[in-house]
Amino acid sequence: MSFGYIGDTSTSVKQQVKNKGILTTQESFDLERQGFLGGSLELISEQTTSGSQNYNFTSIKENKYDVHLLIIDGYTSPNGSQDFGFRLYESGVLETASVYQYAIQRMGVNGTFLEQKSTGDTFIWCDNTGSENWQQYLYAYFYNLGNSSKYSFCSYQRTTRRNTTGGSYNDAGNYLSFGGGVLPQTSTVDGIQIYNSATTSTGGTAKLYGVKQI
Amino acid sequence: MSNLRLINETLVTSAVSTVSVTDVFSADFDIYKVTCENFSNSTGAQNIDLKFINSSGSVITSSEYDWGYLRLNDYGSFTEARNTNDTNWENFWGKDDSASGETQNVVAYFFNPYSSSSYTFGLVQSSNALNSQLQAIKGIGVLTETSSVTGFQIVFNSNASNNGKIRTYGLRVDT
Repeated sequence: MSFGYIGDTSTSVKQQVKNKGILTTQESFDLERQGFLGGSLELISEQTTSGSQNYNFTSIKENKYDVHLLIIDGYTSPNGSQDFGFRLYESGVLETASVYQYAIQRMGVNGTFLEQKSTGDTFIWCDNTGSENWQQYLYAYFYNLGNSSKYSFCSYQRTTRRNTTGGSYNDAGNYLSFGGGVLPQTSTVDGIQIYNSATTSTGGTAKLYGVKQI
Repeated sequence: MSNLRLINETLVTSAVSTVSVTDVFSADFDIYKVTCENFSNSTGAQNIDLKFINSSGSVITSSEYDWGYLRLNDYGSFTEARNTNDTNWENFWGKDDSASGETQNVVAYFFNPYSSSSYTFGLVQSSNALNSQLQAIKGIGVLTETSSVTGFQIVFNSNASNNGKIRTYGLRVDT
C-alpha cells in the first residue's frame, strides 16, 4: 500500500524522513496498525515512589507486550536496613517464595567491584543498605511476563548515590550495577512490584512502558 | 510519540540454523535498538552469535570482529571473555536451551552501521536461562571495517532454533 507522504517505498526500511504530504484518517490508522506510524514505547503506568514501602504495577498489558521497560528515577529512601529489588505477580498473586535467581555486577566508585548472585531468593535483588539512605536510578527490561509457557526474565542497569546516616556522601556505597534475573516458572505474570523490605521511600518516580510490536 | 521507530519484526517459527534480518540499517538512522527474545531449541544449551550483512546482501565473514563481555552467573564465579580479529561477535545474542521456559532475552544497540566512514559498534545486555541456571551477559563489540552494513545475521552455534522474535527500531533523527 502506498501513502501520500512516503518518499521511498522501494525498500523495507520504514522510516519516512520527508513528511510533506497530508495523511487521511484512514491512512493514519493503516500506517499505525502496520507499525510505520507512531512511537514504539507506550507509557502504561506512572507512579510517584513516595509514601509507601512497595509499589505495584498490576495492570501491565501483559497480553499486548512481551517486552516491558521500567524506569525508576530518583527513588529515595531513608536511613535503615533494607533490601531493594523486584517481585512479580503470577495471576494476581505476589510470588514471595525463594524461587528468584539473579546475577549482578557492581562497580564501585571507590574501585571495588563486587558480584552478587543467588539461585533461590525471595526477590530479584538490586541492592541493600545496613543503615544508610539512598537515591537511585535504573532501567529494567522484563521479558515474557504474559507468556505462560516461558520463564519471566529481567535485565537492568542501575546507578545509585548512597549517604551515611548523617547525610554525608558515602563513596563506598556508590556504584553502577547491571545484571539479570529470572522467575524460573512457566506462569502468567501480570504484575511487577518494586520491593523494599523495610523502609518507606520518600521521593522519585517509576514509569512502566510497553515496547511496541505489530 | 516516542523516539523509537519500529523498522522490522522477524519471527522464527520453525527450526533454523541462522536468521538474517536484512535491509534494516539505512541512512535514515545512526543508532538502532534491537530486542531479541525467546529463542529455544530441541537439543541443548548453545551460544548464539552475530555476523553483519553488507549493502550487497552478503554476510561479512572477514576476521574484523572484536568483542568482549562479562558473564554474570547465578551459580558460580563471573567470567570474562574477549577476542580480536574474530569472524563473528560470539555470544552476542546470548544462549538458548531446550528445557521448557528456558530462553534468551536481549536488548542491543548498534551505532553507525550504515556509515561507510565509521566502524560499526554494538552494546548488548541479556538475561538467559539454561540448565536451570541464569546467565546474564553484558558486552561490547566492534566491526573494524568501514563497509556499509544494512543488516545482521543470527547464527545458532550448534543446534537449530525453533522459536524467536527479533524487533529492530531506529532512534529518531530530526532533520
